[in-house]
Amino acid sequence: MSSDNEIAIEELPGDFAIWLFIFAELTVFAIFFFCYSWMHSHNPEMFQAGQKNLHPIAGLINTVALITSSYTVALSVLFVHQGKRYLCQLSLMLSILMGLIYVFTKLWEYGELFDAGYDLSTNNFYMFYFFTTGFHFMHVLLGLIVLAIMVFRLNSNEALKVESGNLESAASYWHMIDLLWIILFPLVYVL
Amino acid sequence: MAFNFIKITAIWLALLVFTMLAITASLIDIEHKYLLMVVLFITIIKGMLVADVFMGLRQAPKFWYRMMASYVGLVPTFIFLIYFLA
Repeated sequence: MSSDNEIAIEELPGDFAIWLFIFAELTVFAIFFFCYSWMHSHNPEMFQAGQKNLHPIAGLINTVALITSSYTVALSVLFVHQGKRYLCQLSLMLSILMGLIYVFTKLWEYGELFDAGYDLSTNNFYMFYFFTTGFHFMHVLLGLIVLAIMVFRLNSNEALKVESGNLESAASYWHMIDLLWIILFPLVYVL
Repeated sequence: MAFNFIKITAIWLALLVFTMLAITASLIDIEHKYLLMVVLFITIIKGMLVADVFMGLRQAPKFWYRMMASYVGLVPTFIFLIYFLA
């Protein structure tokens, strides 16, 4: 294998700047995760009581939705490299649909908790729960907007080549959202 | 990027199976520290699968791959230590 081939293979997906942004976001979330774990481990009764009021099925639906959306986003990147525009757009639309399932499930879950009288000021558990999942929720909304923009920008076969780098950046951002939920889900619902 | 439809689909199914395994482990009446170990081990595997295949970092320059692998490995490990040492 020539060195040129090796350079071509070892390529960062998407734009360099998006990876700086991704690692900055990951660092912020890591701090949230550590703070949540610290508070949970020092207030186990409060956190376990709070967790009992959550809906684990909603958490599971959200996990399946985000993992599936990440899968279809990965497929859209595969299809853009194969020049299959319609399949690429279809994959992105499926990703958006899965993301919307996450959004509406999360909104329903928030609504149930607010109706039961729980909010950010109830105690430390709800403060961390609403803040951390709410911050993640905002990232999902931004990701959905980015994916929707990509669907419209991939409107011709010529656009496939021009937009493939942007699609990789968008896909990397969406996978980051999935990765964060993979850590957040067991932290909030399982442990 | 060496994307492959079968590989991506297999990883998606594996992620769903690992999610179900974590849920099942939480429903079994085992000690919290063992549940912690199982769930965080599953979390690291799931994170690595997303980083390697979905993100495509296995084919990226080593620096970026190692950065992400460190994150996926260290963050759940620190969470485990916070719970375990409390």
